[in-house]
Amino acid sequence: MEQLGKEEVKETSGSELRTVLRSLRRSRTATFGLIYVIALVIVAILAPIISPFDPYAQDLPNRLQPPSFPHILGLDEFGRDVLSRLIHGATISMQVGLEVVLLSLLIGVIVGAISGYYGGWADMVCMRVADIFLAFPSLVLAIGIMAVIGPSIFNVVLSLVVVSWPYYARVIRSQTITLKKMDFITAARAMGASGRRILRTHIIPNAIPPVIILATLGMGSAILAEAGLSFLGLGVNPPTPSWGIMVASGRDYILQAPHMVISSGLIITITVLAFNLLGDGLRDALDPRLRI
Amino acid sequence: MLEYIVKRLALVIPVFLGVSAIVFIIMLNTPGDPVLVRIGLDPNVSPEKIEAARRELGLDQPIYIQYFKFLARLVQGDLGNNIRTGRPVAQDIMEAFPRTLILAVTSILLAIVIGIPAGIISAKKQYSVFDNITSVGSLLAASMPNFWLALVLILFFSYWLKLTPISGYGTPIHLILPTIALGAALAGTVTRFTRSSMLEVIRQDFVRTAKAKGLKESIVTFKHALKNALIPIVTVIGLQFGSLLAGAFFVEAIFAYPGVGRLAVQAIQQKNYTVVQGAVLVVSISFVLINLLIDIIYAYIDPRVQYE
Repeated sequence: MEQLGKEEVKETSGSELRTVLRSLRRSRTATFGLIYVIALVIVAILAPIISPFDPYAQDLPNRLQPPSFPHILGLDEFGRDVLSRLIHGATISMQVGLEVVLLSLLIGVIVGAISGYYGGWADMVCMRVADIFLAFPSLVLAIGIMAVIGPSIFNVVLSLVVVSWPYYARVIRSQTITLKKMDFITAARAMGASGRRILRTHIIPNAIPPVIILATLGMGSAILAEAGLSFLGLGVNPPTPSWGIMVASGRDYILQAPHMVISSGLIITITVLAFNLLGDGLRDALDPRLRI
Repeated sequence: MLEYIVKRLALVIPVFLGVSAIVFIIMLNTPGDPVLVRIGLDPNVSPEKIEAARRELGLDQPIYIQYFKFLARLVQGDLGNNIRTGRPVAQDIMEAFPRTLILAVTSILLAIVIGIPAGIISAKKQYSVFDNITSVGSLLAASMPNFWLALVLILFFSYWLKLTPISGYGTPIHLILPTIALGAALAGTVTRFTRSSMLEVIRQDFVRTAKAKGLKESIVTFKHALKNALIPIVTVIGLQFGSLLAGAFFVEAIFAYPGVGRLAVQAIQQKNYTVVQGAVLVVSISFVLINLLIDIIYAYIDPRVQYE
């Protein structure tokens, strides 16, 4: 009986994935987002192999050189190759984005599922705490935390998780509340399944799909937030190549070497845009009623 | 109605306590010993003197007592003193905050003036070339880092075209570039929400009825459809007010615009923690109050809003 149920779920989720992919392909903008994100993941992983120069190697006599061959995007204020630094910066951005999204999702799933399934005082406490974090403008709270704990990649991830988990918790909670009223949960409970088992095998797997949209959009915001914190000198420590730091250092040479500011800012914009386009596409594919 | 407002106000109290507690906890962890800051880095200072300074600063008391004292001072508008200038932090912020509000208001106006018409046209001509360009353009505006947009605007309009001042404050011209840099993302968001909200409304029966009665297209669009589509748009502006305040940290710092954002960014660089704390608190509380205000305004305009 249980075996049968499982197979059924697998089959529908398989065809669902195909439907989602087909729907994504139909939208040109979502396809662009998907291809760009896949390409960026590959660039981030293969950065040490594909980057044409060492991102830390300095060529001081030629510093601030405008784009030319072989330095396609020019050199920065220490004579480092801008393209190579952008490629290595992709690794940092993707790492921060993924870690922030996965950790926020983990906390959000635990808090949201418990809150939604058990209700009562557990729900009250969890949601009031979430409300307090949501009351802050998120980036302002992240800036405040970073100002105190000091810049590092780990701290950036920590501060961004602190400000973003409540969004995931709220979505998971409302999903859980909808799901727990459904017949198959009642059936599982009638068959004697424990609350923990119901949560783990029935509710959480079914509550995840809508969160995928949030996670995709969350990748874009986390990358944007990391760039912002690094721009203020509160994020990643130099000389680590971060896109935000590259915009900040380009600011000091904006007249002599505008290529530094333009290239690094453009890559942040296109990356965040790609995640937003993909997130929009997923929303249309997963829930046509929410079409924006 | 009155009951709703009272309940909504009561809900703000725990949020206010929570927000202040979180800021207090963060600031407990500031690097550097406040005692040493107070008495200076004299290596020959006696342990008694250190103890006296600890007691004077209230650091010998349990943390919850310290929090209540912090809260008591906060309610009286005392945010501590600026450790650089000795001036009360509240005074610094009171000076800077109205300037940030001016910038926020001009940015919201820009977002409304661009976003609402663009969203309406997009919805009325769904899937047209205009709609496609607007859709990608509005998402692009919302994806752009405001600090980068600010720098690009300075490069084009101040350095190359020499049309606007590079930085500063005082005349309306000084507001143009910061307003665009701060308002662009919101304009994108407002466009997207206006479009989706209008699309939803123009398919409803009462709009069809209005058209069937033979009313003019413009009257149907503005009097019937837009009026009903406005509620989610106002909500989104309220929620985005937080991003706007966060964005002010970047935009003000770049344009040397003397608001709370620049005050906070300078304080961060100088490790002037009391000012950072005050700025984060005031900005966050004003965000809470703005959303409270919007909720109360709703209860007046939309009879469907009821407190559960």
